[in-house]
Amino acid sequence: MSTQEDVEYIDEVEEEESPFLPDTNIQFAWDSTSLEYIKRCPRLYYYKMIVGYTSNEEDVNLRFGAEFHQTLHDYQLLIADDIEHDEAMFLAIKELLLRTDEWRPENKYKNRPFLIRSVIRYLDKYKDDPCKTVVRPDGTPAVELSFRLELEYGPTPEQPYILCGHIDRMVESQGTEFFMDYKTTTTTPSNWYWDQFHPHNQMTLYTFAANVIFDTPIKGGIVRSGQIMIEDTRFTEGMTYRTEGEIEEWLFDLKHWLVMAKTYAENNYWPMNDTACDKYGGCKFRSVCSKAPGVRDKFIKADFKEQPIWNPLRAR
Amino acid sequence: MTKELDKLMDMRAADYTNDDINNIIVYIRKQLAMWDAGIKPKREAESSEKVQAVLAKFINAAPKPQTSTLKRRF
Repeated sequence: MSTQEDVEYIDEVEEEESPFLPDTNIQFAWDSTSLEYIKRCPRLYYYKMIVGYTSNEEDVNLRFGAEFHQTLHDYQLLIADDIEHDEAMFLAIKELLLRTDEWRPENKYKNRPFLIRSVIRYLDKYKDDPCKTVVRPDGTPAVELSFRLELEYGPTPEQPYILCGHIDRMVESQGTEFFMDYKTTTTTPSNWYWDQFHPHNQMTLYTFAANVIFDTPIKGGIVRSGQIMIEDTRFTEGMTYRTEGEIEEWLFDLKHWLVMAKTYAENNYWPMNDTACDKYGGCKFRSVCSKAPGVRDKFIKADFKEQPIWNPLRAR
Repeated sequence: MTKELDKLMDMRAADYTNDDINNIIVYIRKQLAMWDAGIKPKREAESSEKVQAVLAKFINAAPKPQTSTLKRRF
C-alpha cells in the first residue's frame, strides 16, 4: 500500500514526454483527467487516451477553461509584481484578447465575449480577495503549480507510476492553507453540485499533492465556480476537506485502478461500463456506443476528430 | 452601448488600441452593473432614468490612460 511518505516530489518539470511506456498503451503518468476516464469507463478511456477522439463541444469547453485559468494566472502574477488591480486587469485582458483572436466559437455559453466577461466579473468580485495567494520560499506566488509525484511502484520495475497535475492556486484563508480550483459550469450550483466534490477523484488527488508539495498538512480545497449565464457570470465557492484516512484509502484504491488499466492495455481490451453512459450529463460517446459494434467506427469518424492525445505530463 | 461592445469584440487583435481594450472593460463593467441593479440590458433603448442612474456611476470611472503598449507581456 502506498502512503503519503512513499512518494517523491519532482520539483523540475521539463520538456514534454509521453505518458506511455514506449511502444505500448500502458500509461505510467496519470493526472486526474485520465484517472477519471479509466474509473468511469475503460471504453471511454480508450477513445480519449489511446485514440484521442474529441468532439467540437469538448474542444470549446477545454479552450474556454484553459483561457480562463491562464488569464487568472496572469493577473495573479501581475498583482504579485505590485501592479494595481485595474492595470493588472487591463494587461491580463489584453493578453486574453490576443490569445483568442482566432477563437470565435459559436457556442451559446462558452464563447469569447462570455469568457472575457467572466474574467472581468471574477477579478472585480475578488479584487480584495480574502484568500491570499501563498508565496513560495523563492518569492514567487503559488499559482499554476505543476506537480509530479513518483509512486513506489510502477508498470515495470524500472518505471514508477507518476501522479501529475496542475494546482490552480495555493491560498491562505483564516490562517489555514488550501488549494484553490476554478470551475466553470452552465448549470446552477445547487447542493448536488457541491456534493459531487466529495468523494471526488481530482479533489482527493490535489489534497494529497498539496500535502506533499508544501510538506505541511493541507486539509482540502476551495472550489470557485463560475456559472456562465446569458447576461452574467455568477461566482460562488465551496470547500471540500479530506482526512488522512480518506487520502490513504484513495491511494490504496489507486493501485487497483492502475493494475486494471495496465491489464486493459496489455490485452487491448477496453470493456464498456454501460452503467456510466448517463452520468456526468451524459457521456459524449453515447451516440457511438449505442450503435451496433460493426458500424461504430463509421459514426465515430463522422462525429469526432482525432486530436493529439491528452498528455498529463504537458507543462503549462 | 451593446452595439459598441459587439463591434469591439468583433475586431481583430491587430486593430486593437489600448483605448479599445479599456473600453471593452468599461462596457462590460457597465453591463454587469446594470444587471446587478436588476436592469436587463436592451439593445434598442437604454435611456431610461434607472439606466442613466446606474451608468452615471461610471462618469468618474472612465478608463485611465494606460502606459502599457500592445507588446505582449508574457
